[in-house]
Amino acid sequence: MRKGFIFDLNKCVGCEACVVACQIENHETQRASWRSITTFNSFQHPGLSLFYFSLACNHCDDPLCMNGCPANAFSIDPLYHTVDYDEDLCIGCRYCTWTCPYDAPKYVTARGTIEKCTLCKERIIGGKKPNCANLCPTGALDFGDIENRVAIDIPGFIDKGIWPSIRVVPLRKKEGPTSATRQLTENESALFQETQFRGERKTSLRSEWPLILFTLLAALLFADAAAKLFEVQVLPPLAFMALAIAGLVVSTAHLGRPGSAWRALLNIRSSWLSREIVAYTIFIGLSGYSLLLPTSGLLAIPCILLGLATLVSIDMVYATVERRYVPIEKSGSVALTGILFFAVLAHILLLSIPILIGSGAIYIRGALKTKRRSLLSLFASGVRIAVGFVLPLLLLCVHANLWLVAMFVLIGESINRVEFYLDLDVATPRRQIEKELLKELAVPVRGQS
Amino acid sequence: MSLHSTVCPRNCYSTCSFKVHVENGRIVNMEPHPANRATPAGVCLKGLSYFERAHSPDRILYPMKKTTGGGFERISWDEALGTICGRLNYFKDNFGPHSILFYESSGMAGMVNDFSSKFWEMFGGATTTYGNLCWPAGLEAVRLTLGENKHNVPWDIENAGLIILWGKNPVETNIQQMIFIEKAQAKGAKLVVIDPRRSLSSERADMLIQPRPGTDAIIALAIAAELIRNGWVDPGFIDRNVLGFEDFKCTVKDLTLEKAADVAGVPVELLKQLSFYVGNLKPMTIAPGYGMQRFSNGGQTIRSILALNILTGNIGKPGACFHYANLQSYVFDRVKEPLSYYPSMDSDGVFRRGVSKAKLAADMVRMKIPELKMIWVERGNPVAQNPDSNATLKALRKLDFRVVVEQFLTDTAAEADIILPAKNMFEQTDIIGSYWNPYVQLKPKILEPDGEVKPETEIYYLLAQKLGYSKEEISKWLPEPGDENIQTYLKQRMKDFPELQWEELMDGPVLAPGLEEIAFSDQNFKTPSGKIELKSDLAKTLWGVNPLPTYEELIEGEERHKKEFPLQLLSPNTKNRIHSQFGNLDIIRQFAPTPTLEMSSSDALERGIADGEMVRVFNARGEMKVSVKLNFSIRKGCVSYYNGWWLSEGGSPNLFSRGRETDMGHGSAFHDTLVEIEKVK
Repeated sequence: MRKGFIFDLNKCVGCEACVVACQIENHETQRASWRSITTFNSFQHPGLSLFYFSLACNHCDDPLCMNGCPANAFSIDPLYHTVDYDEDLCIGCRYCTWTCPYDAPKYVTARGTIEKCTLCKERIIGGKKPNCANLCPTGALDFGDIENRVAIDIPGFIDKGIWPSIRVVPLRKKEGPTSATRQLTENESALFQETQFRGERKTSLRSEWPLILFTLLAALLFADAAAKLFEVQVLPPLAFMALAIAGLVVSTAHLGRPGSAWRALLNIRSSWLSREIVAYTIFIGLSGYSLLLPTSGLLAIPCILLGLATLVSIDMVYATVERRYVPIEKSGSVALTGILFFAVLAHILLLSIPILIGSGAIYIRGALKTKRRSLLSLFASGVRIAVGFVLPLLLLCVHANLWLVAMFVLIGESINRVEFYLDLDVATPRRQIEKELLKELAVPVRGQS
Repeated sequence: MSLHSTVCPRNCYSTCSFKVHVENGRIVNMEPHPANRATPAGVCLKGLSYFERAHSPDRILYPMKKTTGGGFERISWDEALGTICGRLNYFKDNFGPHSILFYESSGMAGMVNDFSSKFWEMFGGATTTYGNLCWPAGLEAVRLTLGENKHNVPWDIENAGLIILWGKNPVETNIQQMIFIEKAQAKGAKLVVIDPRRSLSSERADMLIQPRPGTDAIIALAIAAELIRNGWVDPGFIDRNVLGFEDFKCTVKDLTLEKAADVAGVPVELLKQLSFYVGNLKPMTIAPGYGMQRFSNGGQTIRSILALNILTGNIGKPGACFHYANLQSYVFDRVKEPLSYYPSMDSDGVFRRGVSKAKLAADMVRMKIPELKMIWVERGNPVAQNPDSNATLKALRKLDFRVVVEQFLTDTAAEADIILPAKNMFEQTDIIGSYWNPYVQLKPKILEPDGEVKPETEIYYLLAQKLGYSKEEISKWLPEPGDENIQTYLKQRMKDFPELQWEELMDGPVLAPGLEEIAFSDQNFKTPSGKIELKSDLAKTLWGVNPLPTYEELIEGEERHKKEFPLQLLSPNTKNRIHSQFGNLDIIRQFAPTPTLEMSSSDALERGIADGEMVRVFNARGEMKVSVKLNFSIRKGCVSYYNGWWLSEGGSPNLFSRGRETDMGHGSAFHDTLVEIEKVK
């Protein structure tokens, strides 16, 4: 019999006993809480009911953590259907914390690795339930037969076709109680929105700047390598190599365990992150070889292709997180940036002008759709449009110095990259529930009945 | 590793049975105890936090004395008892034993607690308290009406067709009740919640009514009138069992739903709907909470709500019940609550029951001939938990000497001259009853006391020796040290009940001897008239209230009070604490790290307060600064601050409450409390 979690929304009252039960059972190894309760409508908007999800690792059949892990730190135990994690194999890249929609892998800074729910494996081998299910005082969280599970279609719960090992019993009664609560005034509605969407995000500039630097460097190096085909020598060989190695160093230093960085090459079978790193490593290897030994001109084409493969892999790394395979919003594509750099440097107007116009249009469209509008972000968008699109187009038309154009494009693309990380939508139960709340509130709020 | 059955002894409805795994003298894990049908799936997060609490590094493990700098330093038991002995003798010789106040509260339930008063009796007496902080107004209301406090077994709620949680929030205060409510709902029962907040228990409800605090009685009485007008009453049941129906009918006949809706500030449509439910959905169970009777009109409010069960015949049948308090498992008590709280009519000369729990601070200062010189506190934290914290602090500081028996450095312990380390629940055997589930339960000793901790029985024994009592004299009052002597005592007490066998109790809960699963199914009511007394002359004689249930305005709630302090302070209980216990543990702190006040979005907007901001809460009695969590559904004009926060954590709700008794039962009316709030600039 296939066993998994059974979670009944009608019975869960958000008491947090499951969180504590998990901590008790796993106190020797648990540093960050493996299980947590996510509350829908915790500020009690009168138009909506309040309910809870108690979630930890759902031990999916097709786990995104495992597929995306570049170091093969995850594996599936075919006997107990658990997704097992081996800390010794982990490099601390945190990519699993982005791909898992249940926020199950928790990064522990002090150790430079992650940890997550083990399904209390020793307990289930011994025929017992995981401790969270064993000690749920209302019987809302249980562990048992999920043989006939179906895809979960419940507001706020992310399914994504990865077959989480959980059966969720939906609410019997979706709406809250009939009550006297008045409708919110306009001011209160505004206050509610403010209160809700201050959302903590998983990514921040403080922690992600090495990745921004790395992706820009990769685009630049690709452009440089490709421009050479057109006889444009942009970077001196030593500068190229210095930047290439800087890229490696920066991305390695970003890992929780830089010493195990080589393990990132191990999962090209299913991890775009692994593919990115493999492609980049060979790209700079070949580039260095051909730069230092100019006789090997034959390598130029494979070298450029590997450079492009690096950029496409980078885009796919993020597309997998965002589950959006056409990275058009705000033109946050590293491949496009790389090609634009190349077109400007090689002075191919037929390529650079359409890309500038096209990605400019996409950017403006994206910027108009953005909801968070601080003064700073408005300013950044203005600079991005003026310096990144308008100025280069004008300069190209008047045949100005290419270096000047390239510099402006670089500034524009850098702003673009920063914005991309700020907007990166890493799915978590909390984020999903906030989105669902927004969606529900877009419909007329239920009044007094 | 060993596994032991035990029971949580906290002042809580649930009184959960559970099992603990012990390894190398530590609690390492827990199991549910399905033999308890009321708590089959296990304890709440507080119960689970015993994992930390039993071995907390913050626990007081040695006698401590206050240093001149205001801190505490470890002393030996010999020094601690020597000092206390010297002070006891001095106060007794110079002012008499009544200059010493023995204060105990509900920190840990159990029969062994009785020995504490035995010691003071042996000592020659002491001043003690009467009344109770919790529930006596409601207990008295039910006792006057039905004769005794008992209700159907908890799982019987499953049989109800209509459930009204009237001022009760079991999600946070009695979590397992939700199991049976959910089962009833799955079978089609309607759930109605009445609460000024949108309590977490209302989320799956069919209807939520949010009255102005303290107006529940007028809602109940208006619905009663509506039931009578529409003929939705049970005349057969009334004829057979009820005294005073005609008088009642006469007093409520002009009371309309419109009038009640106006006073309570709720839509009349909801009251119409609720009247229909009460009159037509059968059987009906009402589960009233205890918060509602901690108002100055608390007893009359409970009598008014109980009238709905009486008129519709919803008493003594499966699914039909008034779930106030179920004292059926208190088989060893000769006098049951609330009578055991009252000052004795005839003084025995030993105890001066002169201090009201509700008015502790004022009464302590008021005591004359002799004045109070010393206090001994055990199982309680009066600074945070009794009304008017600032006055309580002042009254404590006025004394010459303070002894506090405690596990942690609470607000009260911090005032002590000497702190004695208190046992935890795993360190002494005891028998525990429940006021909700129908089991008698054994709480065995499963851990050796940590550090130099001694159970109170042993503390008193050693103190008696120090005071010079002979072994023979002491043995008349107290058991000798050693858990085997406690077990002998408990077995002795059990002799009257052949149904209770020690071995069986070691395995788990045992149903109380003489239990009625469906309370009052024999329609035998132990009132003066033998009937349900809708009209109670005793109520008038004892408490001076109207013999009929009536709606009375709150003492502190009139418009003139609201001009200065317009917000009603609600201080409900949280899932994270039992009164002031548990909140100091890391397990609990991860969910409630700092004190937070919930406030209506509307009131916040009027005061320019945003979510998460710091505010100053104040009235004439006190002030505190805490952060705000906005709530978009709480009734406007009400703010909610959980009971149990310590002053040292940021402020207790009792900074604002006034020492005032309820209309009956010597309860504490600390919910008649108004405050104002302003943003901290």
